[in-house]
Amino acid sequence: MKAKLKLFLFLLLVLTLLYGSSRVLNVGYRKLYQPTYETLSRIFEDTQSFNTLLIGNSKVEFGINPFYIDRIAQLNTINFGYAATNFPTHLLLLQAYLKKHPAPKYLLLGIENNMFFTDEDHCNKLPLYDYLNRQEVVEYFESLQLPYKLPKYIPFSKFVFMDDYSRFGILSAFRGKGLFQSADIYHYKGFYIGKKNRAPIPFIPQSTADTALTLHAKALATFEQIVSICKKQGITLLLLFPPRPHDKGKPIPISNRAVDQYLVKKQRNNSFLVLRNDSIASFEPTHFVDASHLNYEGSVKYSSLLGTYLFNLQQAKPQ
Amino acid sequence: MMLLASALFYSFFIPAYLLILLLVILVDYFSALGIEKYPDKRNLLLALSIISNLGILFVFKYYNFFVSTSNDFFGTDWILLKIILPIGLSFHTFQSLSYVIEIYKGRYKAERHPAYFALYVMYFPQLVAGPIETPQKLLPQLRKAPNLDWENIWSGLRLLLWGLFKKVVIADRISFYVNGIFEHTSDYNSAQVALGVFFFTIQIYCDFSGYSDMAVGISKCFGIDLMFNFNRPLLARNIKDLWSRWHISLYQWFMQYIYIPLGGSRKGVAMMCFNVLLIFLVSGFWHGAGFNFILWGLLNGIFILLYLLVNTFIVADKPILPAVLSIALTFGIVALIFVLFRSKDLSQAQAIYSSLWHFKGPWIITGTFDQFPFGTMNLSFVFLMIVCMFLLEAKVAPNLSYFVSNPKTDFLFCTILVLLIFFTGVFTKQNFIYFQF
Repeated sequence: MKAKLKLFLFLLLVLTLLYGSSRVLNVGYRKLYQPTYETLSRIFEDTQSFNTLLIGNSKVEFGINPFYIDRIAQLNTINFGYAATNFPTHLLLLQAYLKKHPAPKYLLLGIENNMFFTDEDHCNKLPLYDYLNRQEVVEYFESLQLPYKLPKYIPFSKFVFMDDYSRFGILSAFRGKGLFQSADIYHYKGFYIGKKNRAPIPFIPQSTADTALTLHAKALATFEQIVSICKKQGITLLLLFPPRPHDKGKPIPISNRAVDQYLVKKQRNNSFLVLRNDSIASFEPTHFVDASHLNYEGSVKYSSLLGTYLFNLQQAKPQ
Repeated sequence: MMLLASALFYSFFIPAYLLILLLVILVDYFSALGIEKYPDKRNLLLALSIISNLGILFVFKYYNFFVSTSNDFFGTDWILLKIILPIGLSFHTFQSLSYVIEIYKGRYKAERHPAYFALYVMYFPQLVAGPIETPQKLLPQLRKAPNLDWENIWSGLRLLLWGLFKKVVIADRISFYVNGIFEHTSDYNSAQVALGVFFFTIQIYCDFSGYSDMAVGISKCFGIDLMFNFNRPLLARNIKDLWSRWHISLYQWFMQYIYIPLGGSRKGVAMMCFNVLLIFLVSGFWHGAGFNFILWGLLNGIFILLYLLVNTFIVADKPILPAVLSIALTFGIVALIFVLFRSKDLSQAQAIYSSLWHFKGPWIITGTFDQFPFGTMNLSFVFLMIVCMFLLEAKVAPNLSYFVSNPKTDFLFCTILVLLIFFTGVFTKQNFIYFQF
């Protein structure tokens, strides 16, 4: 009886402590990942719609400013960039958005060659656990073979999946020193960037092209699902390869034969348009904050170029 | 019910491999009955059991090693098998063999009920990584109905939490550091490599003893006592002492069924040396089919022999170093030998030894390993947890019985463990290291 009571009291105490601490952690976590929570809230909760969606990884999230696209192409754009995502998360975001909103005119999907070679998705999934009441989120976790049942029924248990970056980041966020809490941060419709972050870090160019040749069947299936949804809903799909700097005038190879061949084959069906940065402009190392992410000036340049491209596209094909 | 649970547990890995387990069970069940019923054929039946058990082990674990070695050294062109090693095969093979040998020696009566014998081989808490139990200890307990007593459940829970803490808070966290060092040795300086070597010894201890504690804890919840496989081995003062406290059930198995039947230390120094080397060689080979494992076992055997010879003939059992130094020296030797255990082949081990030997600066130990940042905060946390674990183990291990007489501390201890596991544990897809054996 004594042990039974002890066990009961222990469970009560532990659950109370875990619940209380997780409430506190949640506050810090939302501060730390403000852009992600903002994106998810716009997709899953808000009813405000947009006619141009930007979906992709950190190169979209911190590289394309909807302001310039809206101003130049007269569109209503939203940035749904989500750091470290691959096709599975892109598909989820698109599906979830379409459930509560009318189909947009354009979908600008930021892609990279490596997305075609894996069925994994290494983005931070913790914020997605808050939306386990949505069937598409459950299916997403199932397709990636990731655990979701415990967080579905005991929401605070999601924190067992927290990584160390977040653990230490939360402490910074509580001190007001989180990545997106600085006064220097520029923020517009899902786009975030440090305004002062202009000086490029020492730039080491990538000297070799991607050489992987076997495309992952599951990655292709997910990608084709995105293409098919766009086709069905009448959305013009633009695939954006992120800009990469040139090394003193010498282009850095960004192509992969297997991906190129696949995209060319698919493009014959007029499924999408491919927009490589090389086809619109060259970017110098001074436009970057690291080997692949744009800095403030770089993002202004890239966003303006995309705006101009979309403007011309509309002129050519008036809807 | 327990048997069904065990079968279900095993089928989570590769369901078809249940058939292999069934084959082992059938062969050993009937061999044991036959040994009792037909004493004149007992040698034949024992041989049948040993050959079939070791045969299965050979096909799944060692065949590819022998074939690839033959192909490399003798230019043969034998085909490698594309098979996955059944999880915990070495463990349940040894447990089943232990049963047949005990019947053969007449130290235990053959189990008549096939379900109880099947449960003895398949009992789920210890099915995949031990401890390897003798029939004398486990079978009588399995024959009784599970004793769901609250005291047992609390004691089991305490052990379960302790094991989980060692696994997810220490072992899995430092595994990122260790993986980085072993996979990309040339990218790191000697200080980082040395820390990686130190961490691997801690990792494998926390990983395996963590699993064992959890197995004992889960079993305790059902009122079934399993043996403790570890008794603070990293606090041992010499290498012989260390191996008598590490993976106790396996080394007891070797002592019982190989060392003693060969004469142990009764047939002179030369024979004793041979026997010690033999069991450590077999132990290395038991752990894995690779030259690195063989060398690992052999080096452990050599160091034990050196210790035994120095201790017997030179220092006459008198300690020559202070306790702390003895512990540190033993730990250092074992950590260096464990490099072979962790390396995927001898060349990887060579890279580690070379990095330690040819000093490469600077003395910085922080960095990012396998995309996992190990800054000052993370390292300080890891060291704090390791020190706390050692201090606690020195006081309360292996069975944590200290807490039975200190209920308030017990409550606090378990609460802190849950919070640490929950908020600092690493819950990625990381298997237990010993599952591969």
